[in-house]
Amino acid sequence: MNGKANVSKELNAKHRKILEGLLKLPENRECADCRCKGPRWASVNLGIFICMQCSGIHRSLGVHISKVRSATLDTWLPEQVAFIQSMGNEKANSYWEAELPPNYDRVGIENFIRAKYEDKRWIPKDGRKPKSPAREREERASVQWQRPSDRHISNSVNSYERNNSQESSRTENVPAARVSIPAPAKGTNHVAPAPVPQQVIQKTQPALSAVSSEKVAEAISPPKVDYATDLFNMLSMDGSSENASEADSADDRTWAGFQSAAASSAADKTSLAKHDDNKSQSASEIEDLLKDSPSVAHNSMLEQPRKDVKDDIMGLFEKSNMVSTFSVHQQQLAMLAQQQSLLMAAAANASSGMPKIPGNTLQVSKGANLPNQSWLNVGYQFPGMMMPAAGKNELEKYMEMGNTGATHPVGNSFAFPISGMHATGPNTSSNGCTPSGLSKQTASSVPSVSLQSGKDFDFSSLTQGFYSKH
Amino acid sequence: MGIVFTRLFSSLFGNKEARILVLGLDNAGKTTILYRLQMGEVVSTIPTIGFNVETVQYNNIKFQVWDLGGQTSIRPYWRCYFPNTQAIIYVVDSSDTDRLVVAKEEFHGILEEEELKGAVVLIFANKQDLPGALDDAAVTEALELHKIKNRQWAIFKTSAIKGEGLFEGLDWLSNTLKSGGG
Repeated sequence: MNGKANVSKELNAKHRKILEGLLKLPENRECADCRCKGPRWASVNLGIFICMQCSGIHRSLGVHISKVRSATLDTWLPEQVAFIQSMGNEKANSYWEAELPPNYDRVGIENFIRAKYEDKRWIPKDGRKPKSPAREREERASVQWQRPSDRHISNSVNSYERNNSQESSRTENVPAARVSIPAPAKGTNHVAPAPVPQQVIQKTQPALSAVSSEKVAEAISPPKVDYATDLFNMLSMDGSSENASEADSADDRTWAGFQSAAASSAADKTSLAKHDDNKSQSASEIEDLLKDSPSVAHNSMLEQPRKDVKDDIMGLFEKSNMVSTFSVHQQQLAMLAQQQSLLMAAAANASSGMPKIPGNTLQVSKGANLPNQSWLNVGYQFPGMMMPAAGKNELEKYMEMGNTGATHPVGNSFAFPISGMHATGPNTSSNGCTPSGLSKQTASSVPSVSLQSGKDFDFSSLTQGFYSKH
Repeated sequence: MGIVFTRLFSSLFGNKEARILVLGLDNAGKTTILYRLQMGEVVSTIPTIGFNVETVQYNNIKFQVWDLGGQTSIRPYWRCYFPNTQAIIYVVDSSDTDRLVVAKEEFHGILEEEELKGAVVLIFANKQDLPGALDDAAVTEALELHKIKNRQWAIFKTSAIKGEGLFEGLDWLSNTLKSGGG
């Protein structure tokens, strides 16, 4: 699961688009826990979007409570995307914060998060299930949710092969925990996983997690929508104890009741029908970049479609021998993404003593020998976020976040006016999103560690990399 | 040549330097382990996008420990750090049983890297403090460690939060590195 081998580029690109779309919904525009703007992380089992700071806390809860993934840096499984699509911050909080007093002071966000999810302090007392009134009226779709323990690849492949041979009785072979959770999913088109012919494993997607279209949903008259979260809780609780991939339908007592044979076979059909749609996905270049070897990745970075960008880069290379990298940065804000890869590579090379990258290496390696934390570039790995749509505005927005690096107690001094460069945008106070209690907490307990205050897209990478540590 | 002399010199005085990479899936506990080793404290972390590097002096060995981010799309960058690495510390979240398969695939992918051919491998079956955590034997099984050929390796049960097992692992590492492995 979440292995790159399991999810094709096309599917991954599709997931990215869905997640981008979800992040634009008003309810998901702020962190489900601290209300910080612009969350880019998610808890895939809780179905919520959270900010980076809160994601750190969620991670510390353990995967039996919350499984954190980046909406931009991680590969998601189809069922994870489908689930977060059916859940979202509003619906999740209507459950987890049902009994939360209004105007509750969230100072000390870690305690808040632990109370919320670990102690379940504010879940409905009357056993109410999470609800999203807004979405309930939307088209209904049945989401096939699969128990985490069945995600072993071998299992999936086997089940697929079996399914293939006996189309009609497919549901019998579907790996154990097929729970049909009818949930309001927006845009069923998006949810349907993409079966990709080239790779065997992707072919199992229809069986693994399928979302049927409206007509299917009508046909099977789905049970109550509200069970999604509860089921999910149970799923995550069970997950840790039932780890074997062999957990099959035999021990599937709890889930049998929810199983819906019609749904899964019909769902398979629909997703196969959607097959063609998936081919239109084109945004997979990024994955290409990532899979290349470092030097190649670096080069192909330069060959990105934007011609003007390319020119800029070339200019960058020419200048970098005589001009400080920093002034180059300042002039070429739009080039940050590409710069990042240089930093990265330079840092790596600096340590191994074999600089492979001309130009920037010399300047960069000074800082990179003892960086407190250097940051990969996040931006170019997520084309939708950075390059095409948003353009420069978006970029600047992210860059403000670079300030967090400077404001944090990293325990070193640095003379370059880097933070000044980030201060160009309209709302510079990216720290403001972090509850004050939290930043205090972090600052005191962690003197010199790289706990940059949370922003998901952290261009503090730039600054961080250059901080030397004493 | 200069490097040879430097190494010779420092080995005469019992100081050795080793470059260590800490790898593993996201949220395995790499950063927590790094700072537990370096500062002896449990720090609250956020996902590492990029890397952390710290020097840890232990048993007369100066470990330069690189902690690399584990998110799916930044794993390909690990290889940028492979050259001149003496040891890999591979960290597994023993309680995240769903993803042991992925952990295994990544692990064996690393072992196939030419640049890491000489590196010794230390596996930390981390998060032993969490409910449902698999023990070292189960993790050994899940990661198919028995398939490792021509390489020194060891697995330790650890809890970075409690500080258990980490220095036992470093003991093994320093002994192995001193005796010439890696």
